[in-house]
Amino acid sequence: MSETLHISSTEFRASAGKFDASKRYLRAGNSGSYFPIPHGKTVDIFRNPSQHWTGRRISIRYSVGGYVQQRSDIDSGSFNATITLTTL
Amino acid sequence: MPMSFANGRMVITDGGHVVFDSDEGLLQVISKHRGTITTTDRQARYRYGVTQSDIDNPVDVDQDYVLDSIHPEANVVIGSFKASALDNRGVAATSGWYNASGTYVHWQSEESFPIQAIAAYTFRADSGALILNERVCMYGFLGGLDWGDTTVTVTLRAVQFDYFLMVGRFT
Repeated sequence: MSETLHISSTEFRASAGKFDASKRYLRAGNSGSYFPIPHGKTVDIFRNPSQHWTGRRISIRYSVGGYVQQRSDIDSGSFNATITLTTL
Repeated sequence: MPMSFANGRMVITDGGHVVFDSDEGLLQVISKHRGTITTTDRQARYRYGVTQSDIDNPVDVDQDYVLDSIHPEANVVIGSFKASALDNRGVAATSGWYNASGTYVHWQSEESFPIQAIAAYTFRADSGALILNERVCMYGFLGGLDWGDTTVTVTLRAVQFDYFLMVGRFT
C-alpha cells in the first residue's frame, strides 16, 4: 500500500512521494524570487512600412525583468515581456 | 517540525529552506509535447530601376503555427528545441539546442545602414493552444544596393524545429 502522508520531525512526504520536502520545486514566490520564466516572447520586432526606403528601420526591443536591450537611434516601443519570477 | 500553519498559510521547509508555501505558486506541468514543425522559405526582393520598374517587396511576417491543443489555463512553456535549416550547399545544418522559454533569434543581419533583417521564433501557451510564432522582417536590399536594374532576392530558408516541450501553469 502506497504512502499517503508521512510527517516526522525532519520529513514531509505526501501522495506516495509526489511531494517530498527533501526535493526542490519551481515556485513563484512572494520574496526571494529572482529567476524569470517568460510567458511568450521576450523580443518585440516592429517594421514601419510607411517610411521611405532610405529611412526604413526594423525596431528590436528585448525586455525581461527590467533588463532592456534595444536600438537607441529609433523608437523601439515600450514592450516588456510577461514573466513570472521564480525560485527553487 | 518541517511544517507550520499560521493565518491560513501552510509552509513546509527542509532544513530551514522553504519548499512549499501556500501563499506562493507552484509550477504544475500539465502536458508534454514532442514533435517537428517546419516553417516556409521567406523571400524579399528589391530593385532600383533605371530603365525598368522598381521592385520593393519586403517581408513582414507574424505567423502562428498551432502545434497542439493544451489546457486552456496553461501559460508556461518550458523545454528544449533544436533548429535546423539548409545551408548554402543544400546541406541540413543545425544551430543546436536551445531553451524553449522566450524568443529565439535565428538570424539577424548586420547593423549596417540602411539594412536590417531579423528572424525570431517563440513558443507560447495561449488560450488552449501550443503555438510556435514566427516573426520575420527583412528587406530585399539586404543583398546590397544596386542602382542598375539588378533585382536582388534575399531568402530566409525554412527552419525545422524539433521540440520537446512541457506546458503548465503556476497554481
